[in-house]
Amino acid sequence: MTGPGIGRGGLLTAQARLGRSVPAPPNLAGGRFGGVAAGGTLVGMRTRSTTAEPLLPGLREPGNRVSRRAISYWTARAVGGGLVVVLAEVAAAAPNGFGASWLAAIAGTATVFAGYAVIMPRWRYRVHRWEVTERALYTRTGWFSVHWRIAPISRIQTIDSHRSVGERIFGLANVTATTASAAGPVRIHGLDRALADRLLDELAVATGRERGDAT
Amino acid sequence: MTAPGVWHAAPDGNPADAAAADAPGAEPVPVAGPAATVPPAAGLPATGPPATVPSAAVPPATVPPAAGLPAAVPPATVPAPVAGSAPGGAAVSPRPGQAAPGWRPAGIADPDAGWQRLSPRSLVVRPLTDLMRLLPLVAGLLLLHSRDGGGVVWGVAAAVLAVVTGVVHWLTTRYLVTDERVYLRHGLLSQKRLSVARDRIRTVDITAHPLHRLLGVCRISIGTGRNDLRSGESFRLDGLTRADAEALRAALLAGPPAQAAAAAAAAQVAPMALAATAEPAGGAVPATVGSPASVGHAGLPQAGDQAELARLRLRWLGYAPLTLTGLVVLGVLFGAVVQLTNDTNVNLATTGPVRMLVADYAALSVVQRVLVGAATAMACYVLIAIMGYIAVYWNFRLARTGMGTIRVTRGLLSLRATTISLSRLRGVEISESLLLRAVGGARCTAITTGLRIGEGAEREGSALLPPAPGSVVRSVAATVLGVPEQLCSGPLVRHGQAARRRRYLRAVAGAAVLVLGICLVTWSRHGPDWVWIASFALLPAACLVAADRYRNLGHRLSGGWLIACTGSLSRRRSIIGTDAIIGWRIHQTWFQRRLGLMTLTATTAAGHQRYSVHDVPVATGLAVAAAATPALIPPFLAG
Repeated sequence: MTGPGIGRGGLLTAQARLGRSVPAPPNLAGGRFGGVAAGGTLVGMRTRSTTAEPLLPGLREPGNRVSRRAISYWTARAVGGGLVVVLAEVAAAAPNGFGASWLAAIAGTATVFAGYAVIMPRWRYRVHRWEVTERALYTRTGWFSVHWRIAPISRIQTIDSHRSVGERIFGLANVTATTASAAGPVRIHGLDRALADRLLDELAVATGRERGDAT
Repeated sequence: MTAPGVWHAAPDGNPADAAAADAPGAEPVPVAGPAATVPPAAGLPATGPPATVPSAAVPPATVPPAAGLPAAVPPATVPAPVAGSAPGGAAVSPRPGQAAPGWRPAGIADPDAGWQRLSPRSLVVRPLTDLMRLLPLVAGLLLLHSRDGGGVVWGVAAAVLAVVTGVVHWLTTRYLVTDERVYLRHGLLSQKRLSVARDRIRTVDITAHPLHRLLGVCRISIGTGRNDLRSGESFRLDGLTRADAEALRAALLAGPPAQAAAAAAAAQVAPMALAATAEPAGGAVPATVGSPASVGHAGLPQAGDQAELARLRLRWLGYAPLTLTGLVVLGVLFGAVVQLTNDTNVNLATTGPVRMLVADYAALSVVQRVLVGAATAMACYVLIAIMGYIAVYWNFRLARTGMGTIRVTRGLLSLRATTISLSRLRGVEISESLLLRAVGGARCTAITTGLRIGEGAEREGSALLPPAPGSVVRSVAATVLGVPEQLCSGPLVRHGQAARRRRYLRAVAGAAVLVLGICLVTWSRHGPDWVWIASFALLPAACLVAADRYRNLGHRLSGGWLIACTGSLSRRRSIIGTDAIIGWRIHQTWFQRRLGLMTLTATTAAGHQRYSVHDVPVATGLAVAAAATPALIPPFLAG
């Protein structure tokens, strides 16, 4: 999945690699998705049908997954964080001549971080989803703990996008929509960069249509 | 233009200024002239409302059209010339949400016409307050140079400096109220210009410390609901006469002049009913007319009060020791004493009275020492807490005014009058700490967009009542919101057995970790056995807290109000209007998922910014969210 946006084939291969059966989403069948790839609107886009049993019974899942490259990005971050800790331990153990207890500690830490780096990104990828409708921005994030956020388009005050060095390496971007509430920002992480740009533009247009002071 | 509420702009040299100066003379609008209506000239973006403001990433075309501009001006053209024409871009704040439009209001031929100054009496206030702030430094310098006589020089220099800054402040500070906006400018070298759209004003806070009161002036600050203001950007005028402040307050919260006149007329005909709804004029039933304007604070303007909702009762003083206010006062006093002794190089322990006290105390037996010490500490604490309560809440009075606002006045030495627009009141929070709850007391805070709870200078501003009896708190809360009192005290929807189990699990698990830690430490350090044995008392204590936490846990959705109750050591019942909810957050940990629970959080622009319904069963929580915001949630419900 290297092209701009979420390619149909890319998604299916992603699913195939995950080893899960993918029911054909009705949106795909209706040709709506093809329109999206050709530059249609992201508002209302749902690239996946909701699975039979959503994470939160009663609340349907947001319609779109994030870019599959996010898995690599999250893995790289986890590995980087683990390396820092392990190297610090090595640095602390070296003057002591690498005693048995130190080696055990280093091995334990490395194992924990390796497990984290393998499990967390894949788990997170299954959780992270987003959707923009005419009225609201809807996201699901997290992995062990899951957050759902819903912000009405009419209450969005600013939309911005931030790309860290890591995200740029993996061709990713995030989009943040803030509301008048200090507790209300909605963030979509791990989006394909081109898709994030389009989302930014479309959200800007959508919020610009609204009046009032959004409080 | 692009900031919600207040903006900065480039100082002089802005072409928009020149345009304003060249414009054929329209009369300025004085504060006290409610009849004057000068429409702002087209093309001057200063009059636009800083509404939904996207950041720099958003194309200018998305900026909503300015309500204050004639409809003929296409919205897209408004920001463009502004951004492009501001010279000296360095002077323009580069932060998103800040623009550089002509800061001067439209239609003012003479740049100074209509701008009002602070009272000349602020020429006295300002230097004295500055000197007071410099007092420790000046005192130190005086002492340091007391031998060589340099201290006098330093003292004179400080006084001259204070007087000069005071005069400069007075000369450069001006304000202006137009139909659309309020403008403020001050500063000589670094000039600040602020403006705020009048329909954005949520609260007006008038304060007067003793020096202010001596000179008959006060300070007025305007709450706009922006949460990210730095101190220098807050809209504040220090040194207005009481009459000016009252006129300004009335003008600011009354809306446009025509509306204000109508409101005033309505207020004269039908005084606000105690139980009227939050709408200013809607459903006003003639009822108890409160005390006349003359009763109440001597130091602050009182005009416009219609119905008194509450005033301080002496027996409420009993609640003073049960709050933390006393501790805060104690801390401040202690800090002041330490600072003073440090600055003056006096060792308190060697002074006569202290030495005698210490000697007497040392003569006592151990038991006596403990008893005397505890009794003294307790007595001091109670005394100081009561003194603090009196200093803050003396003459406390909550009243509904004729213009759709409520007004809190209080203070013994420093006075404070907070006026909150009822149309901006989003809810009320009733909080009861364990101690207060034990004697049936409670506190009450307003949830308003202009007052963020617990933040900086506006910290105490949102208090609707001092710590007071629960019954009074509930009836006042119900009256202010215009809701049945049942919402403030009535039953709640319980969260069920799973939530109860989670309360116990969390409390006991936390206590167990603590007990384990204490055991390990005592065993490894060979501490006394009674320590780890006593630590097991934490477990039943945790169970008690858990039971109480479950008893307090609940929510309710009734008549457009969402009520969430939570906590044990500090129980809080938040009542917020569903129309104030500007988004939802749902949080579910892995443990909650196993129990079928979730935490539902409503985000809002007011008060704490978020109000949570904890550990609610998933189906119930979703139903609440869907019913509270029927346009937002249902599309996302499954099935």
